[in-house]
Amino acid sequence: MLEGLLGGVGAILLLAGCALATIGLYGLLLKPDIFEQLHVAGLVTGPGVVLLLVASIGTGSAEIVTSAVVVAAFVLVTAPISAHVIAQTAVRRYGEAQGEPTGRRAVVHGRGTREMRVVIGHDGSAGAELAARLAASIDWPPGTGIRIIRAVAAQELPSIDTLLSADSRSPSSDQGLDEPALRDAAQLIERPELRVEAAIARGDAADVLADEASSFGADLLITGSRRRGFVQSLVGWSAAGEIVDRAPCPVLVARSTDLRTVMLATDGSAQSAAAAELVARWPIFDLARIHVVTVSAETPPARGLGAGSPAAAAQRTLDTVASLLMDAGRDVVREVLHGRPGPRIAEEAQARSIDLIVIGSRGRTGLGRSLLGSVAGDVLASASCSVLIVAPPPRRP
Amino acid sequence: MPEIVVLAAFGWCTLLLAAAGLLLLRAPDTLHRILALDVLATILIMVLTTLSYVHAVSYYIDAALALALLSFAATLAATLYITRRRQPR
Repeated sequence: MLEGLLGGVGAILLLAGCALATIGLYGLLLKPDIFEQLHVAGLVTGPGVVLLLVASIGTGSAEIVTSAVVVAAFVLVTAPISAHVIAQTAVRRYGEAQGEPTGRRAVVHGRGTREMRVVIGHDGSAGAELAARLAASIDWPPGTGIRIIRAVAAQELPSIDTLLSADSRSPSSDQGLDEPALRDAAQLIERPELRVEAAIARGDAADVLADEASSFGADLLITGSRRRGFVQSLVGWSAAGEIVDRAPCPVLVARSTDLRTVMLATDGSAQSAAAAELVARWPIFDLARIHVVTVSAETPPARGLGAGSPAAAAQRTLDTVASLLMDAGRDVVREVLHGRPGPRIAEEAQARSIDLIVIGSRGRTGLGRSLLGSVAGDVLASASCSVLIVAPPPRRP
Repeated sequence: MPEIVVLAAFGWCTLLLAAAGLLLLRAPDTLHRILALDVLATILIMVLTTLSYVHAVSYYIDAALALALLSFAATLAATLYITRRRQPR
């Protein structure tokens, strides 16, 4: 009799615990703001798990009940402490972001004069054609050197050794012009005031382009983009992403052939400041209209934060960057967006028919990025326009 | 407890674990990740608890206790780390 009653109560508690945890997780997935997330996470880490543990009375086993009570007591003590510590860190973070001025004043060089060095990765695909057309449409400063590199996998062309006589890593320009696709691309970009050369190199595309860009002293690496498979997009891997990871300079992933409207996405980090400086300084952006955007979490918390709230911090970041660009004579529009940064930026760019998104990246590589995520990676994956990613050069051992 | 309820709860908790994994993958920055991991560990405790009900043995819950301890320490350490890292400048 008593056993049956306890069993029934246990079953109800068990299901109630599961229901609370489900509601909590649903809320966590729904709300992007950390403070709102903490609120609903409390449902999982508090009542949800404790109800589930108390349901052990339904098992009728003394051992299980004892263990469960110990765990429940431990969780009841630690869950509030964890939540408190996370909330405290979040408040401190937003406070700091507000306290320190983020965008540094850049020394603006004479515009329209400095020559650039550009490497274009060409793999013969439609994306690479697009990259070449984009490069052809850009008004490069006179004296700019452009090197078009075709990376060939070792097994793709077995007779490559006859083609490349001396050193496969530093090919000369003549050899590259044997390849029709490269010759077309070079002719497309060719102008009297530019130095254009084409070359073939053997090896993995990301390696070859990174090596070429560092030996050429490139300011910019332009590459096409390819569609990704389902599994690849799930783990956040892409060929363009790998090139971005390895490259020693900013990388432009070409998806259109214009640079008339540019969106600069900024979050006040050092990398964002570098991206802003680049937009302010590079002569290729002289005629572009610049939309400066920053993304703030969905809803700012109501109390306790005041001027340190995410929305106020976002506005300050935006104003700093916008004034830097206006000092450099750029045509600037500014806006604070709300939502999840990656998809939101891509969506806004689509809505405003932006040609190019410029974004800073912390330069996380490989596994780290697929596990921890990166806003720049999200933007690269979800945007339909060209993306210029400014990342710190990779650390080499 | 009716066996069917216990089994259903176990299956449901496993689904919740997958949802928590999704939450972790979607986290935009370190702080969100710390919170997501904290929740993930809690869901794992729930899975282990229901597993011990299914098999009617207690040692899965002991494992859950160790996990709770570890997750608590990890949360404290990680938040402390990101706070410390930003101070010296």
